[in-house]
Amino acid sequence: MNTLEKRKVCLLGATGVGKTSLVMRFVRSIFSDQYLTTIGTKIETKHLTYGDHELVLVLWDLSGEDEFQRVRLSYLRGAAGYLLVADGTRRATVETAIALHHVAAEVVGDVPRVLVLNKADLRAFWELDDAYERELTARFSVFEASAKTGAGVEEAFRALGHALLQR
Amino acid sequence: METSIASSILASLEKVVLERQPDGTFLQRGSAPDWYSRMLRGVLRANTPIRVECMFPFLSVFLPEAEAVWQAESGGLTRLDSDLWCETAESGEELPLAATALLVGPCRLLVITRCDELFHERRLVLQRARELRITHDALAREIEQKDILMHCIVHDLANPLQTILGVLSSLDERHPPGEDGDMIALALDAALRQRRMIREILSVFASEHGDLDTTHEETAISDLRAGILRVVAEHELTARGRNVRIERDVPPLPSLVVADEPRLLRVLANLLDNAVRHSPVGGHVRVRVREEDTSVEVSVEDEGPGVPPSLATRLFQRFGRGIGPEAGTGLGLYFCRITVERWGGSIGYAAPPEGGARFWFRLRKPPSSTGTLAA
Ligand SMILES: Nc1nc2c(ncn2[C@@H]2O[C@H](COP(=O)(O)OP(=O)(O)OP(=O)(O)O)[C@@H](O)[C@H]2O)c(=O)[nH]1
Ligand SMILES: [Mg+2]
Repeated sequence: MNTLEKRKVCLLGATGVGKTSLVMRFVRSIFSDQYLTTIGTKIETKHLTYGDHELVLVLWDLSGEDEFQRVRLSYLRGAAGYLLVADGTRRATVETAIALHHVAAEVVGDVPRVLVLNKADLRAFWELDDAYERELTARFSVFEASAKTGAGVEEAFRALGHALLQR
Repeated sequence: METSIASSILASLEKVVLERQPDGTFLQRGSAPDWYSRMLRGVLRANTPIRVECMFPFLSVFLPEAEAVWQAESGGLTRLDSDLWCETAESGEELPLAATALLVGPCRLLVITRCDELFHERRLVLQRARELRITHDALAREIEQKDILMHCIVHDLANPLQTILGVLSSLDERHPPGEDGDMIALALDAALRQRRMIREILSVFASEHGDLDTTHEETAISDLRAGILRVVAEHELTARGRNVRIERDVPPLPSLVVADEPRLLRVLANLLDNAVRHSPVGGHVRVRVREEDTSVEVSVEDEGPGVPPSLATRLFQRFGRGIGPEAGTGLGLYFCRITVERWGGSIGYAAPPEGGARFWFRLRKPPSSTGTLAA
């Protein structure tokens, strides 16, 4: 039995955590060290296959949250799931991701989501201790990833896609 | 004739005008700007009804909001602008677009504009602001860690010196005759000079970093109660994000102790930070103040996993939690201990039988209860 489904997924997180880089790595297998902040919204699609099932992920790469701009939560309308992204080297971005998770859940309800701790290539400089990571793992489906090396990126998106198909 | 001029003007302003049909599809009105024609090329003829939300998925969130304009009864909104979004043109270049919903007479219009200039202006400002913010944060963190490290090292250098000075002065008081006496006087002199230098470093350091102030350490008096209220308030947001409740049990009146305020706040923040961080979701952190005869005890309790006994004895030593990225700076509790001890207080850890972790510190009350608050 062949099926084809399309699902909207939003990337939420503080600025500079690597949302765009993760999408670019996942969709186009490219990475740039140069920081080019996302203005507005950029949408990319990616086809995934799980056995006989084909899934089209419509990835909404939103401008990040910071003191200069808030994430527009209305953009979550119609999202089947979301990817929370944080930068392991900046602990505050994890708190931002969690805060965004709370508001996102109010808009779209209890939908599948994963938490990506990005910049795993800089693991030695991470500001997260063991206890904190254990606690995050207890609350979220956590993936350590590096948009730079590609490690863990596919896994994170695929896991979210898988959860979307289960619904 | 006039309409055709108007439509060419719109096209040259990079705008395409689409009219919403009753079935929710859109028809192009007037001529199209190049960017739009290129997007349509080979896909559609100009006069076919299109589903804009398929062509521009971003519009799937804008169209429902735009309905408010298009369905407006008199007096309602007559115009709504979307935020920017980016398409990738066939050539691979970024195509920044923005949409406007308008109600013109009976016509429900959607105008999509290519807005490179706005996009680049906004990028210029936000890019710069965000880069500066990231650099600033990274530097601030680095400086803070170095500050603490340096403060600790210099402070440590002073400790053995106290012993050396003590021994030398008691030798000196015996007035040993001849060369011995001269040598002891020389050594005492050097040790005193060294102490002056250390104090100088600490006070330069203090003036550079007000929050590590060491100049009026033994005489400063602060209100513990106000400090707790302030630090708890600062931690409330982080705690809430993790669904942790901070409960405080503080006296109704100011509670004066020997301590200087900036560092007292730092000690409190350190303990509270740890407690919130190690709390389970939905857990409680309790901050309690207990007045004793000549001192005041503060305790911070959490319901986390507690400290393994193997680590408990080294908790307040420098790098007591091990060295490495997981251990943080390894200086937080060390800083707490040297600071509290400098004020003549004490600090400790106890594992409550019911689980969790309990950190406490005790500070002296000022000699007379009429002590004045340090500025
Ligand atoms: N070392 C390392 N750097 C990364 C990684 N991912 C992203 N970066 C860098 O981090 C910076 C920000 O990445 P972006 O992908 O633009 O971040 P963003 O979350 O999209 O930022 P905004 O669009 O401003 O919200 C860039 O300089 C990237 O090169 C990673 O895995 N490792
Ligand atoms: Mg981005």
